[in-house]
Amino acid sequence: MLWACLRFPGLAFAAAFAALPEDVPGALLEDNARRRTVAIVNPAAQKLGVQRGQTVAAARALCPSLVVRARDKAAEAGLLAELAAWCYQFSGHISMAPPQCLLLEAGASLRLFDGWSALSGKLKQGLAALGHVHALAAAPCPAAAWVLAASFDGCVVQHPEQMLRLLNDIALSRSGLPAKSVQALRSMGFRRLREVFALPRPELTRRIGREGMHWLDRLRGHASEAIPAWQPPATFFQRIEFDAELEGSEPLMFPLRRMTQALANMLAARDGGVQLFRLRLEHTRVSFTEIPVGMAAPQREAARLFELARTRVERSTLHAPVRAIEIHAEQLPTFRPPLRDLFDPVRGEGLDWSALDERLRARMGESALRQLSAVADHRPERAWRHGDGSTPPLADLRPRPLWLLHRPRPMRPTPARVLAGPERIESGWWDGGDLRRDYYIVGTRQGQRAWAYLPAGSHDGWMLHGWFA
Amino acid sequence: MAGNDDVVPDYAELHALSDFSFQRGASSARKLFDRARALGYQALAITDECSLAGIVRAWEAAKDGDCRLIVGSEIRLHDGPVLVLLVENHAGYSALCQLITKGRRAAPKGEYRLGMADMQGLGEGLCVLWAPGPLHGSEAARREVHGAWVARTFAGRAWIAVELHRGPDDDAELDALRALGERHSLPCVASGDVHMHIRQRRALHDVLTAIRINTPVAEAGHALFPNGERHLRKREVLGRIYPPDLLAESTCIAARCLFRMDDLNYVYPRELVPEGSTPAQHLRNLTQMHMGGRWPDGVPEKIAATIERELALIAELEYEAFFLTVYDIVRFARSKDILCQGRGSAANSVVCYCLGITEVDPANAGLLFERFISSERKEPPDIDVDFEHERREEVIQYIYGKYGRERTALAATVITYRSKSAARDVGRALGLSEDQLDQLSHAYSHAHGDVDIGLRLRERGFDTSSRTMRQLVGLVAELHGMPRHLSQHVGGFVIADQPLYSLVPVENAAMDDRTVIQWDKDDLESMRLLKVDCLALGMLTCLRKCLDLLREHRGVSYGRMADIPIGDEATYRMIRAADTIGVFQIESRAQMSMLPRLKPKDYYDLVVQVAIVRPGPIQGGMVHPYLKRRSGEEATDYPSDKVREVLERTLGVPIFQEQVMRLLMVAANFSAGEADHLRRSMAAWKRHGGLEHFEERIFKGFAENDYSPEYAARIYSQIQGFGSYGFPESHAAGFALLAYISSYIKCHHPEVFTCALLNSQPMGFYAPAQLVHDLRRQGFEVRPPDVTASTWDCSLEPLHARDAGNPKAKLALRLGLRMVSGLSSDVAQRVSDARRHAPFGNLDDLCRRAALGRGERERLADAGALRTLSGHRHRARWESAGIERDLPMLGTTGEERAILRPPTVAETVFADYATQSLSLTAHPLSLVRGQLRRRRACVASQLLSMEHGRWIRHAGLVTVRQRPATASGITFLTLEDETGQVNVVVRRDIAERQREIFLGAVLMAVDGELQAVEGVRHLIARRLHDYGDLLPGFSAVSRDFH
Amino acid sequence: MSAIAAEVQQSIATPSLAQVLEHPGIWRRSSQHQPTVRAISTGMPSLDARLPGGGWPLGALSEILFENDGLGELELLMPTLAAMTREHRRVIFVAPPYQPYAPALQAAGVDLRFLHEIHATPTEAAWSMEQCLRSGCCAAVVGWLPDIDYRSLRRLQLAAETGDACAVLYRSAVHAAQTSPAALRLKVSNSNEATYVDVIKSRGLMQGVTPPMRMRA
Repeated sequence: MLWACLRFPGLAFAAAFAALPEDVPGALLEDNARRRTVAIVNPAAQKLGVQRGQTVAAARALCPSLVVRARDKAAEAGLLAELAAWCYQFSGHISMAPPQCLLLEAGASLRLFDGWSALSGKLKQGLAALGHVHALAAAPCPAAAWVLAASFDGCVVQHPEQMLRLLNDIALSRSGLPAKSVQALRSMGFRRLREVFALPRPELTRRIGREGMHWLDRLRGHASEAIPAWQPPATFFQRIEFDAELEGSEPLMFPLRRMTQALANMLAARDGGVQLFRLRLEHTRVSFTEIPVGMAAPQREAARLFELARTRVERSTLHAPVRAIEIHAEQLPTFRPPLRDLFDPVRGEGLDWSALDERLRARMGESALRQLSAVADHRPERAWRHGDGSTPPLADLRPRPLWLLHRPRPMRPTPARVLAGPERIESGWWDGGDLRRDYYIVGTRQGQRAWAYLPAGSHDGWMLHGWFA
Repeated sequence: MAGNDDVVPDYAELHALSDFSFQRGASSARKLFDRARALGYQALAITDECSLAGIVRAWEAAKDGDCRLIVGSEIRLHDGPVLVLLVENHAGYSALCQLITKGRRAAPKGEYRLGMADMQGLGEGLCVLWAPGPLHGSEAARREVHGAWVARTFAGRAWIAVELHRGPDDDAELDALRALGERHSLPCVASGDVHMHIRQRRALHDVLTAIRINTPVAEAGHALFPNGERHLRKREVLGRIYPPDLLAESTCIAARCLFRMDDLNYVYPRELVPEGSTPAQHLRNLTQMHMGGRWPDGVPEKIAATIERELALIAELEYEAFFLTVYDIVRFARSKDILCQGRGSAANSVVCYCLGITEVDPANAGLLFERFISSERKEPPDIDVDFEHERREEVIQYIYGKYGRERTALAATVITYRSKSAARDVGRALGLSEDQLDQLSHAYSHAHGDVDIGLRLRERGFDTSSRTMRQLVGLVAELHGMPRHLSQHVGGFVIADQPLYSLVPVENAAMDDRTVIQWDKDDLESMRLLKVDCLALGMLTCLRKCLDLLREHRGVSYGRMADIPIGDEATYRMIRAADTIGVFQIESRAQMSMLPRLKPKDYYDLVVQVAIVRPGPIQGGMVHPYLKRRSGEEATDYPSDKVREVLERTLGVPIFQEQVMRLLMVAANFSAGEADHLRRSMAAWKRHGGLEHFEERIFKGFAENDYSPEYAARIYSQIQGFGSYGFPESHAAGFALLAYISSYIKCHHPEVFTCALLNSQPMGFYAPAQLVHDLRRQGFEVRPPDVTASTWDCSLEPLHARDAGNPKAKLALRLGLRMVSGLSSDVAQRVSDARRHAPFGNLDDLCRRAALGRGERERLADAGALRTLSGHRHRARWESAGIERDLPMLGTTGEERAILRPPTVAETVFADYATQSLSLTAHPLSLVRGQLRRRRACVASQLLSMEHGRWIRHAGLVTVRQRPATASGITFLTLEDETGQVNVVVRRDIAERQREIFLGAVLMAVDGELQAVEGVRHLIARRLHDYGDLLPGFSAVSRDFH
Repeated sequence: MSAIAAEVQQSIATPSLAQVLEHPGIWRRSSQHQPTVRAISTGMPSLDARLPGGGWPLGALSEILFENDGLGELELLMPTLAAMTREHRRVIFVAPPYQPYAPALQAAGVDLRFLHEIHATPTEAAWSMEQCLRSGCCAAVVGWLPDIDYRSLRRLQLAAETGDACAVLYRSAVHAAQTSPAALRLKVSNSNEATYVDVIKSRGLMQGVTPPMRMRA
């Protein structure tokens, strides 16, 4: 067995910042703490004295231009998983050692890749191309590889005695022992693993606990350990190339049905669903057409998936003949079948709402179907928005019209009579939408009831804003 | 809609909130009154929500104008309607105070709870306005129920407040309220529900609302008012909104509410005077009774005459009860052996000296009572009494016990928005992120006075031309200085003869068991209420410990501070040498640098010293003239005898607050009242720039008395510098005495002084490391904390065992376990208790008998406190980690012996600093002296003999970083090495340019020029270096930003 | 406050059995009228009394022909729509001519989570209205289709039957003279500052028998 450990010191930064130039001082904050303290610092900030554990205020005092972001552990895990996926090409046994390390069983791959130097060369080259700073070490047991990667980048040891020699020189602070044990051992005067390895076992166990002892055993390969193998995530991709170029959408239906069937099979196997997949139609000259297929809720039924794909393809105009078709599904959420109320009378076509919703959207586009929400804002234009219909209960029951004009317009002829008002509305200075208007409920000569306003305090310049329909 | 447009109707506003309705009212009472006067309102009621906290200010704002103040309060019943109560007469005022007290006491701090049931027995003398709220929001049925209840409960004195603010249908609203009034026989009156003085405060009001409900303005929604109508509207506008009868009714109600704050009559507590005697007589008796104690050989004639004059003055001003109250408190403290010391204007009287309120003999010190209290100035007497900080609570409990909870409460302190807190709150209301808020705080906290805030904000990456930032800057300026909430005064007790709640509302304080009145110290002064300040002072605790140690180890028994010999030459010699680390007041860098120049010879010199080294006099340019005149370099001139009388004792330079006031009275024709007004505005100068207000008056006054414009200008600039820092002589006198006494003990018994000081930490300017170093420098032995010898406190032990009990023998200081950070006093107690039984045989024995837990053992081992039992730290830690509590007997006995390396000197020093912030083994700098020498850094002691102007490099641990001074733009740093301390002056540009080193370095080197003037040595920094690489892992020890 | 709102308020405040039966959410099979017409109450007893089945016909198309905007034409429907959404049944507005105003809808008692708005061209509007009606998962579909022809009206009528939904179409009063397959046709007009509602056609009722209802005095 030969375990390789890849260590990515810049991972947390790469996860939190999409792009931070190296010379800009940056820091990541603990993501849980109420007291905002610095967790990780980049070299530029380190140079200016910013350190782990400082409060943001203290760090800012040292470096006013410090760019600060909260640590995003979920993104870190995601990035580590991406790297694991990439490494999968080199080893069938990969294990995550969060937050910033990956372990690869390399022994089995050595022959395949022509030995360690070739394998490590490929790893390093590939990672450098991806832009990930990393350290790499290999040892007969994973714990040792993990520790060596932190202290001796590039080292590879095949034999246990050789490994022990290297471990002997490792400082306790980098030994991977729990912080409490390190602190205790240091205050007894120990500095390096060598000194600790020399101590009588029962006495040492009493002082650093079974856990600490077990780690020391793992380091030296005295304890067998099961390393959990990482599973690649399920995403779905399929590509079909055509012998001839296909004109129009009709001939695409057959391959489409096959692909959606395959997708459905895979979803069924992993008990998942899909909410969004993309179709990519490749043309000869004009590059490609991409068609997203989205659903209101996760689906996995072959017929439904095909039906959706079909309507979308039919609605899109194809500028050129198609040479190949691809299907990509990246997010595969857990599938939950829709619940149907037993007492719901099913009539007509018996569609449920999501099916109707999909049908309408497929024909008329995503934005055709909308819902309304009321918003607590005194300004009429901002007292509503398109949304999901969820609305806080309204405390303020001022008379308002059922129809609001999309834009107020001059009222001609001017109102015949004032029924109520003025209701003065002065609000919104904070977002540049400050207004000062006197609203009135007015009647027209035709007996219509309208909502109209005048500039505050003024007597003319009637603007029509709504109808009490 | 009604009203004749031509006639401007009379009006009185009966419902207005000031900014003392916290986060509701957006304008101060002063602004409201200015506006109401300008609009010609007959009267303005300030009706803060369940509060009279702003009423004294409102009264002052109303004083000079013809718009009358009506006292009132808005009460929102938790189960009923909103009522506005207006005070008609004295009985009504008492009833209102009681009601507010009841509501406030029934709820946590800052809240109140009153219900319909609480209103049943509402006392006489109050008019009740019921504000039914807008119709479209409330149910008609509830209005009917409330209407019936209001009419029934407040028959004959209730109105419906018709408050129209351009709602959806004001006409319908008016009709509905009129009909409601007719059904329940309640008259209607127009009122405004005013929340701001002008419409333009709408934005600030929205921000306050957002702050109150803790959400950004953009999300505050309907919590905001729909418009800005709730301001003081023009009467002609009101005339168009309200029918004339409703407006007329407001003036009718105003005419019923004739109560004036001036009508309040506060009575001093009476029980201190025995039956059959008068306060004056009793005070005289007590003074005469105690005179003998002060002058055992008979009272000198001059003193007797002074006492007579003082008693006459006290009688004229009727201050006897005040003196008797303070006397009673001080008498109690003495009976319990609690050290105390009075200071303040009234404290500097021979009467107070007789009564033991102060130990300063005013006659000897040249402090004349009349200087502080005079019959023309009607200010209330002022005595602050300092008590040992650890025992003040006993005094407070005594006061509560003696006068009862109903008659005693703490004064309030009004916490106002400072620019930083205002910026944070406004920023949050405008939806800035936490991160931006941090940046904003920074920008505002470093922006003092004249620094352009726009510049500061741009430095922090804000776009000051953006709408949000422009709004923010404007709103912060408006919010700045506004009251935010009430807090309790540090120790100001108000005591009255009657229950306080008939005088002023009382509410709960944050501390259980404490109650606070709604007025702060300025309000009390205005209302002439008795306030006694019972303050906590760490130095008194230290002195108490000194006296105890002296009795125990030296057989010297000073019963009280007065027994310390005065005028001791050795003590003054020490003070002049600036050897004052640890003593009261005159120990700071600035003070120490001034001592060799001022060369104090006697007590009054100390009084001046205490007062002069403060930002006020320094900025006012008083220090240098005073020094020059003192050294005889400059002649002292007095433009007139009157001025000489005022300024002679400070060589013609005004140093004390009292002198400034007196000077303006004798030389610029200020009346006593004007002078007092000026004194009060001094505190506000910095913020409001109010001195310009007086400028003309001052110059005119001087001119009238034929003083030259140059002289007037000089005095004026000196007064200007005073700002809020001007120090009163009456307080300096009290502090100077403590400075002398602490110096005396330090001079004659340094080990006792240091021991007591360490046991009173945290206090003072220096960290324990410097105090210990200072003692060792004088040749005293200091011993480390050790479980076989230390108690919780530091203690004194004989240098050699054979000296035990010999009061003359030299003593060593044994550090206590309190020096070990993170150790609780409980552990120390268990160790001492167990040790008293029998000495500890070994570590196992200690752990078992003192029941030490794992963490406690480790802490003691790391601190080196197990050295006698276990040897060096490494072994102590190894052994203590091996003890398993469950198996006490097996423990370490059966263990294989591990090979453990003893710690190096460097490791020991590091561990000492990590656990105690000091080391007796070596100074960290001595560990790296070789390297420092290679880097050409010289030691502190070398600097003492170097000449002025020499360029050098010095390196040391940063022990003190002072907050940047604003005026000069320089900052003081203190560096420490194994030979002493060096004061470094860093100019602002260097501090900014080398910010990370300036703020972050633990071990710093400074290249610069040595400045040595009149025995004061500074290193003027030109360049800073971080030498932290020499001591990797060493933790910071500095006290930043004192 | 409008008369309608007051009426609704009253009916909600103290429910007697009779009033409970009046509640628009209750399926009513009134014995007074032809039992073949199934309807849902309009929430206004005086209007119910004029309609066969005592309310808006179910599984059928109704037309509301109005002279001008702002006469209370939409107010007529609100009690019913409010009741439907409060029972978590969906209501669709197809191609409304103005922005339906959320605060007013909410004040009228509509649960906005069950109200959907479809923006559409005239062709798409007819198509989507039909889809919604047929689906069987919409309680009411309200459309504004000014230029709809007879054939499309017929399709909507059939779709409403299929989906057992309440279809309501708003059109200008100028179309009153045209023939229509709708089960119910109302006309909303104004005279002397009062709004009147005429039943101009009703399946199962003789035309013109009932006097117009006066609302919004």
